[in-house]
Formats: sequence, structure tokens, C-alpha cells
Amino acid sequence: MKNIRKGVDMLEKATAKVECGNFGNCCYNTSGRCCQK
Amino acid sequence: MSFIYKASRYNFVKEDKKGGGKIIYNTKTGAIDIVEPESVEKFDAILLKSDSEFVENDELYEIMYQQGYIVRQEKDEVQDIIDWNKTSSEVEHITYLTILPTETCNFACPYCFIYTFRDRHMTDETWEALYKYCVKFFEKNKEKEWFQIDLSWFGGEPLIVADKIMQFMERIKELMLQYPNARMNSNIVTNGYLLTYELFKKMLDLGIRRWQVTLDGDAETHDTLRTTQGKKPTFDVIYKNLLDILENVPANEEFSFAIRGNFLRSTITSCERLLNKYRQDFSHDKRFHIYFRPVYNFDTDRNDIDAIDADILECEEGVRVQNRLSMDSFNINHDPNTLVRVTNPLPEPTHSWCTSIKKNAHIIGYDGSVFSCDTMITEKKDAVGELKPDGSIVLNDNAKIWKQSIFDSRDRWGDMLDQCLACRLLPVCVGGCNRSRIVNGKNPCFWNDNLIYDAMDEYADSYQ
Repeated sequence: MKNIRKGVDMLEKATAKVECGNFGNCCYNTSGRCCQK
Repeated sequence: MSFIYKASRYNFVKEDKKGGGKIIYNTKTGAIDIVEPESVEKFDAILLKSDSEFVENDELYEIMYQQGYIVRQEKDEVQDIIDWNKTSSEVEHITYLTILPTETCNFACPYCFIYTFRDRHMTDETWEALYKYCVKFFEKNKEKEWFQIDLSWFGGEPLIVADKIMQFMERIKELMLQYPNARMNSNIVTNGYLLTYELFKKMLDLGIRRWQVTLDGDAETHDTLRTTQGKKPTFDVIYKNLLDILENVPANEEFSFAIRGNFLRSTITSCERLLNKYRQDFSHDKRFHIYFRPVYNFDTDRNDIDAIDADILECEEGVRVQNRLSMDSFNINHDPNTLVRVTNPLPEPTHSWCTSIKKNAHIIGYDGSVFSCDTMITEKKDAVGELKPDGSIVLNDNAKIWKQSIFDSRDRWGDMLDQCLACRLLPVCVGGCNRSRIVNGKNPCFWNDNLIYDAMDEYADSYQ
């Protein structure tokens, strides 16, 4: 197996520090609807 | 200790046409692996032999378990997603504030989602109430091991009132000195026209570390879409600002700078030219990244979008283009484990589609109105509550709809919820856009299986 992206445990991350920051809301999804500016 | 395993219900597997093996992606963990041709037989057998005993100390079994491709037989994966959605939504020690310091804008983009332009700056009373909200939040959480405030500067064009933002950030920085367990993230979405290097550095020093500026392709198309209110072109000013930042910011400063490209059917080629320009000028600095998104048509009280309406892509077509541009922007030095979520063509699992349902996530309007959705932020009738002068937030009846997850509302969303619970894309969507579901009354499916498989093909091609 050649690893491309490591899996994450989202339950574990549910209360974790938010490191990424977000632009409006849209760091959370990939539609980009939320920050069409 | 051995156990009985089963294949995850969230696997996507397909042939790797170029390499001859297979590629597997799991929406629940976000994991992606390429299976070499010599391992395919065993890999297939492990997935097919679901409900068999897990073989310890076997490398392939171990990797497939770590990556979430196989799980313990008793694992309820759907319940995990419901649990992570609920847990993250009810977290008390993180607050997300999206702040509209002004509803005014110096641009006249035809696709702006602001329903009614009202040209208002945030009132002094609202600034003060906002500060008091922060003090209350800090006081409430001060005994916790850590707590976090997340400030997003939105608008309107926030840099029109940059001084006000900086004054507020100064106050928050001072407040944080009294609370050693406090953490802060801050980001800003700006059109970049007023963003000189000097202003950027001042705001960076105050803790604004995530930035987004939008360019609609190169000058040829950008200057027809993103003009000033007086219809003047803006590309050269913005691009010069970005180059000044790139050239002057010290190498040890930590920040993330996104350049977003909005595209229409007729501006895709221009976005490709912008991407080439970006590659030449910015790609050596990993603090910068670029991503592209289709223009969406939001309902407003104006008709300026009519001029470009026929040029707006349908959802699936738009996603295909954004994915292609994302793959084009992949630099061989980019590590897919650290790629910013919005730039990744294969979606990562998420706690919720957006922050709107989180108990502690609020969008604060100029007059203290509290909103839930980033794209419905100016009409008082859409407000879910109010920020009171003492810093408390009182929610109204709208919040009963807007602040609820699809999982909490079986009475309202019964059939749609059942579709979501059965869907392999649930971990990357978690019910999707609240606005689309509430306003349109149907499931707002953004992804579909074909889009995922096509993105997997592109990944496989890129990593051979």
C-alpha cells in the first residue's frame, strides 16, 4: 500500500483545539458557498 | 488481541488504470491509499472476507485497520458520525464569532450575496457588547485547561474599518493576558484592495493569521467582475498588494494566505492563466495557497446577477472544474496530509457542513443581530438572536430551525434524513448546507459518487 493521505479519528477531534482557522464558515466544506465574496 | 472485522461502509474502491493496482478512499477517515498490483489479490480478499477474524501482525491488515478501511464488526459507523456532529456542536470551550464590522463595500461584484445593501458600520454599542461577550466567555471558561476564541472578520469589506478591527484586537490581546489558558484564532476575508503590506503586518501582529483575498481570474476577467463601486478596475492594485506582502513579510512569520478564484463558464481559461501567474510568483512560499470555486447565485433584492446568470455553472459541472483546477495547482512539494481543506479535491470528513449549527458559533451583524448562515446576514427577519448590551446572546424562534443538526430534527427532515443516513458521503457532508435544505426543502447534495471516483482517478494519476 502506498499511503497518500492518513486517516483521522473525527470523534477524537470533536473537542480538539481548532488549528486551521476558517474563512467565514467554509473551511468546513468544499462548496465554497459560505465565503463567496 | 484479535477480533472480528468488517469492511467499512464508507469505502470507495476503484481500479488504478495507470498503475495497474487499485485506489481506496474512505470518507469517514479521509484516508487515501494506492494498492500496488502485487497486493491487489490480498487486498480484495480482506475486504471480501468481511466478518472474519482480523489477522494480527500482518502489515496489510494493520494498515487497512488504521486507515479505517476495515473496522471492528460491532462498530456502528453511522452512530460515530452522529456523535461527532453532536459533540463538536455542543463544545462550550470554543466560540466561533463571525463579525460584520461593516456592511459597506468598496466593490460592486454582481454575485454578492448581501440581500440588501445598507451601508452601515458596526455601532459603538455593538462593539462594546461584543467585547463583553468575550469577557463573559473568558470568565466562564477560565478554570478549563484551555479555551479558544475564533474571530472571523467578514462583511462587507472589513478593511474599510480596519482601525476599528485593530482596536478590538488590541483589547482582546490585553484581555488574554489575564487568562493564560486562553487561545485565539483570527482570520479575515477581504477583497484585498486596501491591503497594503503595512496594514497586513499590523493586523498579523495583532493575531490575524488566516487571510483570504479573491481574484476572479487574471486582469482581463477580474476587472469586468470585481470593480470598485465607481466601476474602476482593481486587479493591478490587489496583485501588487499581494506581491508586496510576499516580498516583505519575514520568513519566520506564521500565517496562511488563501487566494480564492471565483469562476464562471466564460472565465475558466482566465483562472488557468491566474493559476500560472500564481505558480510563478507565489508557489515557492508555502504560506500561500490558491483555490477556485464556481460562482453561486444567491437571492438578493437586486438584479445585477442577471447579467451573468447564464454563465453560472450547474453544481456538478462547477465541482468538476474546481477539482481540475485544484489538481492543476497541486505542487509536487505539497503534502496531502497538510493540505488546507478547501484546496483538497477529495473531501475530508467534517464535524458539520459549516459552523452554523454549533452552539457557540455566532455571526454578529452591525446592530447586534445574530445570524446563523454566512450568506443570510443582513435581514433582521433572518436573525436567530440578538447580542444584548451586557454581552449575552438571546436566541429567538428561528434558532430552533437554524441551530439544529439534521440528526436532531427527524420530525422535520424524516425522509431526507434517511437518505443521508444511508449515504456513503455522509462523513464529508453531514447533511450538507442548512440554508439549501431549509430554503429549498430538499437535500443539498453537493458531492455524488461519480465526482468522487473521478477525483480518485486524478489522485491516482498524480501520485504514480
